[in-house]
Amino acid sequence: MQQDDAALVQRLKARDKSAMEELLRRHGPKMFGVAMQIMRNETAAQEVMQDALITVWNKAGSFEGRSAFTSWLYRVTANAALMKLRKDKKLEHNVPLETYGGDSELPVLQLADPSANPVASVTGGELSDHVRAAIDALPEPYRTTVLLADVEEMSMDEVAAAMESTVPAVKSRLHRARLALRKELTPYLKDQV
Amino acid sequence: MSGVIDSFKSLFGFHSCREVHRLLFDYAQGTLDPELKKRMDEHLKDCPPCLNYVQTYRQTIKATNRCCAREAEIPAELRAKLEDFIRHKL
Repeated sequence: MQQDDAALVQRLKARDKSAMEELLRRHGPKMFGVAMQIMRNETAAQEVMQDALITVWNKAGSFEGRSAFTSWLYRVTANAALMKLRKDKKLEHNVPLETYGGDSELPVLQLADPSANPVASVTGGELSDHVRAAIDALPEPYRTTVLLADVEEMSMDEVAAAMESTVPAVKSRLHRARLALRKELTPYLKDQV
Repeated sequence: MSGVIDSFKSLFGFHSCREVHRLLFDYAQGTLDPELKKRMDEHLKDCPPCLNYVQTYRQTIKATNRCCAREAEIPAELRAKLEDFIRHKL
């Protein structure tokens, strides 16, 4: 753990409220980034930030330092976002693909029309815009799985815990999501990555 | 005993491009059994379509990882709300 974060954690454990303001200054942008990635909406992201701050304030005392403080912080934020998605019923399995057979027989997910994403159509061509549009076109829970695993780089165990799922299910969803993204993005990947 | 192991490996090893698809996730994650990885590497050397498939799969992961801003500037108004929340609601 960074020296500064170690001191910050000690202050949080001592219930020093000014440490929360320091936390917001130091790690707020990343927390907000995680919240926005998942929620795609500033109002919802604000609620997620508040929920995450409450959790940090209440649970900092039990933080044992087994993982980096920042990793814990971002997991807390991702969990808060997932809880909100569940509450808003946006994390329902809206694509019945779990019943298919082996990976080699996996159907590629049918994405919603990524070109409908205004970011991609306005800027017209940057790889990152195409990727963002393709991710947003993924149905849940595939979209969130990709965001947590491949963008936020959470482990399979962490994603499974956050999504209240199993590691095999997370792996299966992640693989299907990647195949769907690959299919959509292949024309733009050439010579760009 | 080694015959049983060979049979097991043969059963779960790969002999075709189809097996590349089956093992792709673990191969890309770096969690594939070393023996299977070695055999897959050998297959990829001689199979341009599979190699292309694996490469574009990996490129997709990399592009996804790079696509999205990891930080987002908190708008001033929201920051003020959050600071107020910390001071008065926690």
